[in-house]
Amino acid sequence: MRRRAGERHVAGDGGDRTGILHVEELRKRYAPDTPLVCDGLSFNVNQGEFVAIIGPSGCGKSTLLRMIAGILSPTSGDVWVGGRRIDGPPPEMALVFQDYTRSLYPWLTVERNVRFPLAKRRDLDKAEKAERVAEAIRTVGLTGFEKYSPGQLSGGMQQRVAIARALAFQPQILLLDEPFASVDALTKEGLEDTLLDVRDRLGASGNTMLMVTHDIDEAIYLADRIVVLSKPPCVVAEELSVDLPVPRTQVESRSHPEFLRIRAYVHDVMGLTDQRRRTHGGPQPSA
Amino acid sequence: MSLTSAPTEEAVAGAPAPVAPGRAARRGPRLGVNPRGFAFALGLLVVIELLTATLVTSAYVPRPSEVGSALLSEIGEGDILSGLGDTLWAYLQGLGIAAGLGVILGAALGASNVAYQTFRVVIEFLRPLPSVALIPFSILLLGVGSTTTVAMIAYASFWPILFNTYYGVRGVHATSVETARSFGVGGLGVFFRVQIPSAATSVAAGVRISASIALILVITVEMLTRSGGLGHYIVRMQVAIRTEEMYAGIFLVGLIGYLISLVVGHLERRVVFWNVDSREDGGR
Ligand SMILES: Nc1ncnc2c1ncn2[C@@H]1O[C@H](COP(=O)(O)OP(=O)(O)OP(=O)(O)O)[C@@H](O)[C@H]1O
Ligand SMILES: [Mg+2]
Repeated sequence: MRRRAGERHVAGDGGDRTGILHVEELRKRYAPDTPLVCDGLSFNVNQGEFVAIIGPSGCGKSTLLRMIAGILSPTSGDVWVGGRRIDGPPPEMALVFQDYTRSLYPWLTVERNVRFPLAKRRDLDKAEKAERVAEAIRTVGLTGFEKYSPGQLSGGMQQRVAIARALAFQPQILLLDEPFASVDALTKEGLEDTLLDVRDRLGASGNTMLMVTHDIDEAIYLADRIVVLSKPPCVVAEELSVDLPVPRTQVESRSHPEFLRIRAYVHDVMGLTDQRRRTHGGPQPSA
Repeated sequence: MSLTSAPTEEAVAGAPAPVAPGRAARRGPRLGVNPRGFAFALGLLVVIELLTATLVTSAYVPRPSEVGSALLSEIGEGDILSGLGDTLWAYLQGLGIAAGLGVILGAALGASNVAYQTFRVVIEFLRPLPSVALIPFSILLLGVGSTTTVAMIAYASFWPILFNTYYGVRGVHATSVETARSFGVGGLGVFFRVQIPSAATSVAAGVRISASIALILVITVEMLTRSGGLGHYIVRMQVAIRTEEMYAGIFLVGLIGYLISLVVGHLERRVVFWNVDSREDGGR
């Protein structure tokens, strides 16, 4: 189901659990007597869809992704993947962490970092693993750096290693937490296109992507749908679909009237989040 | 820009050329010779030589040249060398046992809260107890000889390795663990593939500390128990008022300490090459 920008999202309207990913009334409180971080998040992601999540800094986007990835348990609420309620990391998912320096292993070379998730897989033989690793490294443009250790690479290059590692895993659902935050504008455009490519190549059966970003333009350029989160404790403030024509290209898509319209709209939504929460009876911000 | 996968050209152009990869670039100087440092040390020797030849004429402060010739003749006789051999052998055994036990037990404590809670009180009691205080007990139990020496070295150097391993395993960053978990790596896999390697830098620091503690211990125990080795040699020469030989023994101990720190530093740079700490000190 697609909504045009401007249509209201009715929080907690359920959605079907049969979609590839379904998030239902997620709440998270890290410790007793601390404020809620997420306060009843619900949304749905369909097979093959690219969904972008945007929201103000500290609103709980990383927290949300970690709950979806099954490495953080919600205080209440459920995550459904492929019709199953998860209570651990689902095998069809990979997460590219925001904190890529901690996420890469400094004692492993680039190549071995990328191979890490495949290393103990019995269903793949050595050649298949090597092929996947080489392919993933090529995709992010790091061929030639296989034998480097992460500490010898720039921040942006390290982030690309982390992306390559997730690609080598070939997940059905790829979760990305601000994956392009520390690459320059040119590399960023290239990597955005790489993501779209990966999706195209895998076709309809293929990659569902859920990406957290601060960058509204990036969200519009990449996503089929955008989920806007409110200030903490976060709820879904708005869901809108992006009806930009495909295939998308950096120059044309970004100057398309629809792009500009959505952009203005999202700015508006993010600026007015507080007011919207009040009118819709969400929890009141205390200060 | 088209829809082809194209971060490659621009991205790689700005990066260092992909040549000569791997550890070599990280390793820093090898067993580096530091010419200025050696020149200063030699100069210092010359000054001491001049001072002891002119102003300081106590029989207990021999001239460096006399110590040097005493060292050479003692080496010729073999006495000091067998002492050196005993000392080194006890040192290696003690430190080896400490490292083996410290890493295994430290990792076990780090892996299991139950184990940590169980052993904690005993550990906290034993740790601050100066190990030399246990020498009399050790002599009663193990007798005078290399067993006591090795046991005391192992005991004293065990603690830094144990604690550094424990804190290393514990201190692994949550994201490192979560990364592995998100790829479906189970508890045991996380322990061996993430926690243990990421503890390696901390373990290495523990071994570095213990390497000097072990040297202090081996000499102290040899002096106290008079059971052979360089420590005993130094005491014997002191009692016989053979000051030149005594200083020759002391010099050898200093030399061992220096070489040990070189070797440990070198190993550390190789084994935990990614650790910033171990790369800080340049040439020695
Ligand atoms: N491990 C944790 N323990 C306790 N509180 C946490 C933890 N991780 C995050 N928080 C808190 O949860 C809130 C949301 O954090 P989160 O990292 O999810 O935000 P974010 O939206 O990803 O922010 P950013 O855009 O800056 O990455 C913050 O107030 C933070 O202090
Ligand atoms: Mg975040």
